[in-house]
Amino acid sequence: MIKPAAGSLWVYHFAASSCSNCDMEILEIFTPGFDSERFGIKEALSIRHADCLLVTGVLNPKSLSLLKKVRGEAPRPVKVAAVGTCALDTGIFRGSYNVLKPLDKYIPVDLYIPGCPPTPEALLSGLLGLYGKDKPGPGKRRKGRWIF
Amino acid sequence: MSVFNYILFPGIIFAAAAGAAVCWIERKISALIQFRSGPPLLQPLYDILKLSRKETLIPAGAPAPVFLGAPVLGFSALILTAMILTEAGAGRGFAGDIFAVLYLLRVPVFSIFLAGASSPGPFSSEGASGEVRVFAACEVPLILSVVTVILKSSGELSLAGIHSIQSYEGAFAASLSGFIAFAAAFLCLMARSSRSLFDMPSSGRDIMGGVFAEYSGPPLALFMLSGWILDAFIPLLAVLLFLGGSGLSGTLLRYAGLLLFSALVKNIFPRLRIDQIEKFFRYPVTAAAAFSVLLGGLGL
Repeated sequence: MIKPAAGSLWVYHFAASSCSNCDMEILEIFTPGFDSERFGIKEALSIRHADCLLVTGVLNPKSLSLLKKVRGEAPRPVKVAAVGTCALDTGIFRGSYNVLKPLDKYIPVDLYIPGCPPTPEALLSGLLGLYGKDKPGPGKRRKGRWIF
Repeated sequence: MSVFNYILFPGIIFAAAAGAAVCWIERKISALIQFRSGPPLLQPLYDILKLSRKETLIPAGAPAPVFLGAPVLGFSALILTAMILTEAGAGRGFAGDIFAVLYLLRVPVFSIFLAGASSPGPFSSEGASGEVRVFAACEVPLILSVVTVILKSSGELSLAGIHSIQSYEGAFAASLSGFIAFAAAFLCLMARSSRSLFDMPSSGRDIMGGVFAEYSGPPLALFMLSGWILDAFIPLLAVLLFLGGSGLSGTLLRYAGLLLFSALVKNIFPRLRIDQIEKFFRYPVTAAAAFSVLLGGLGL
């Protein structure tokens, strides 16, 4: 049973060449069955609205450069969650010719959600764990990019 | 009007609280229709507080004064609208405030257009052009239905006066011309607040939030608050113009009914394309509103 939590977390879904099973499980938490809205978790429409990046799949050179670009476009503080075994430690694709190191070797990761794919319950309980932490996510506010 | 009125009641705090409450009610109704439990009561507050703590990004190439001024412009116009409507609902007001409201309701459209035009992204431009096209299409029928109301109340120009006439003469929406004008005006007002079947300009799935795609942090929070205030006070305008109701309880009952109806409409119908919205308002709705003016002139 997931503990009721209050807060607001808009998640942005970044599929870094995943096999799309993690992506289906992510979509599952927005459905009426799991109803992430009761915890204030919504899908961000644009990266400018995101509070948390859900990264799925193994990184390759192309998706890493895109991920870095997308993370740079998100307003701070933004959290990064590695979803699924592939993002955590490249899983069964380790050692393949185009596969890079795991996600946390390149950018700081706040939340690891293991599983192949992780269940919606695991995703929700992991995301709710972010509510307790009041520290800002990776990276402070950037100079010259913010006003208030 | 003192500082108390501007800040607390019926000013910023009251309008924002009413908007947040209506936002929660609508999200809860959507949730119940989809067999979910829905967001907690303070969810709108959590969203606003979270957004106010986030960074404000100004995209490269955007003129910062316009980009940041647009949400403030729309928000301040909506606060004034909410104040005038609340005062009119309480039976106070001034002659001609109906025109003031019609004028002030155009300012948010202008602010959304400025926001979309000053953001460099293609989604924002698409959203801004859609917003203006919907605005241009639904402006004429809205004014025609208001003309019907003025005809039926024999030249009364204050919202409070129109409301009090209906409390002893019966609601305008009960007569033939009044009902046609009410239907036309209600559709126009729903389109004006970019709601339910008319929310294509700010649609999430198709153009990533439309004009709001480049906004983050406090300016996005201001836009969200403006949208909620619009959602909360537009049914009140429809009630004052067409439904009447004697006393506070009668007015509030009609208001709640209209809110429930529009929430149901929002959940039942899919959204329309921009060109469908334009055609719909330009021909059938405008014709109906013009017909209602004719009927109102004949006294039906």
